[in-house]
Amino acid sequence: MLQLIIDILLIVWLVTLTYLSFRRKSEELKPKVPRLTLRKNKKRYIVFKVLSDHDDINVQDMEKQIRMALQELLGKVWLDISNPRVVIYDPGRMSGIISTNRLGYKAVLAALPFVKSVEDKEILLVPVRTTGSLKKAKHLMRQ
Amino acid sequence: MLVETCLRNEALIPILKKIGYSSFLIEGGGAVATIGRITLTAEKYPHGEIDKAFSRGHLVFFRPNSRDSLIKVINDERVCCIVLDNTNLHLYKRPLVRLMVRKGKFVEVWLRSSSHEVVRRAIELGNRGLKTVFSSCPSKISEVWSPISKLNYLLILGASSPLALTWIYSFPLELYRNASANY
Repeated sequence: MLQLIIDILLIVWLVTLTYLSFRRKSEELKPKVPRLTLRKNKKRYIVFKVLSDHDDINVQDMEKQIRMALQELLGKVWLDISNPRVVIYDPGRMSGIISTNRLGYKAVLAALPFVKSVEDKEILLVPVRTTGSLKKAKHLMRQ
Repeated sequence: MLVETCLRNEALIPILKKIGYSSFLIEGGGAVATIGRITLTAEKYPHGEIDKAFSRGHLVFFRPNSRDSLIKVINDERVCCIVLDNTNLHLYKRPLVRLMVRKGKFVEVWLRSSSHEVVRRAIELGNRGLKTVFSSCPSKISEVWSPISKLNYLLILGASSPLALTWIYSFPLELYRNASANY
């Protein structure tokens, strides 16, 4: 009886070893491809202020000027990547929010001083803060 | 304390204060009690003009147009800062840059009149240990650069963030403190 148990254990042990050696060989044959993990390109919101002598500034024109400035600075590739949009603009407070993403927010911040005028009105766009949520950006804008 | 090392229009002071700057060097001096500066440009080294500006109590900034004047300005202790722009970028060769680093001269880059290539070159010089200062030198509201935009602009052109912060915050402050100590 004891002999039988020892035989069974030996057979199980040998089968396990054979399985492991085959598995290792098959893994060695497979080409090793490094697994790249891309961070998700999440949204970023830039709260900005407009300094100008004129109060009536058209939002569409301002967005157009921001996009043109970015394209002039870094080209169409970065314009498409960052895709800046003025999502909220409050003419009373002369401040607004630009929507962009994590990859391109630095490009947008760098391009803001290149916006010199909107509809021949001299303006200065001053970035105040960059946040990850629109709710917080709205809160900052109201402050 | 954030310092704007070049301001061409005193009317912009409230705007700069809103943005976050607290001290300024006004071109030609001003009615406001701040430290004035004078930028000189010449082919030949203007000893007389420098004497005159220095005796008036202004900080002397010099924009050299030739190699000789650059060498002279590096060795002149009355001139505190050298201006780098599109016109004199070719003068900044390695031996002169080494001399400037040894003498502890400041180099100022005007963002409004410099191409991206000049700024990129200034970043390289800054990486070699040169005391670089980036100034917008505004005369009207649309020429003002906010500090956050300056920082991100330098980062995009290849500067490291600790060095970029030093160039925007620490070196202008050092320049201003040296100037204040002279008064």
